[in-house]
Amino acid sequence: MDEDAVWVAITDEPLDPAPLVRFVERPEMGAVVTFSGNVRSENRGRTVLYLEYDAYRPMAEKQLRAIAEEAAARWSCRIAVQHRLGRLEIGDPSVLVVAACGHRGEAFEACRYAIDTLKERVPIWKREVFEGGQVWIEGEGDAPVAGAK
Amino acid sequence: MRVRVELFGRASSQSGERELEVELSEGATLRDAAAEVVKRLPVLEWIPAICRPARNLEYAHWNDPVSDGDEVSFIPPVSGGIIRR
Repeated sequence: MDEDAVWVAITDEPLDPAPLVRFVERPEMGAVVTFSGNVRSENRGRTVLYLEYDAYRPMAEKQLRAIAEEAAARWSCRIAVQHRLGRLEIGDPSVLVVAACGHRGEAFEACRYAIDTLKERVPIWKREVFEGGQVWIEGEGDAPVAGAK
Repeated sequence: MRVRVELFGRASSQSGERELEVELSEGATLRDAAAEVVKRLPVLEWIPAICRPARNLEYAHWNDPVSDGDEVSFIPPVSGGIIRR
């Protein structure tokens, strides 16, 4: 795997897939798959107003890089991953994964692996503000924002 | 010895703290570090039951020892994720 097969970033800025696509594109890469995770207007029966993302930033960057490097090595692909933090409105992309491979099969697999693994082990959390309250989303569960459990 | 504890998400919003230093005796583990944090910030009593510990930016185990100057955190299940212990 060459040095710059991966590009990962945690950012406070709005996400744009164009520079990620430019980063992964190469003449020998016939397939580029882009995944964009966007803020959804509904969650667990609640009407979502906005989300606020928080991260353990240095650990999140380190884990994100490790995941991207695993994917790049396993599927011989180039891959770029960015996650946004702070307040995001409905429809805003919160995470982008762009994978380029020789063929589409590997590109889809690498992209899928990166987003699924990110959601298991990169320390990023979201506080969901909905009509009537707010919760921290922790895995499959909701946790109160203030006060004891 | 002293270790630095980083708090995020729910832990930080409930306690009002983002970072603290805790004093531990030689041979202390990540479990001891969490117990010390809960003693100082009782609102975080849920940490040992729910979180996975991390030491110097890598996931670790509750029985792993800590060393002077380590950076420690306690990671609740991440936003889209599942709990893996």
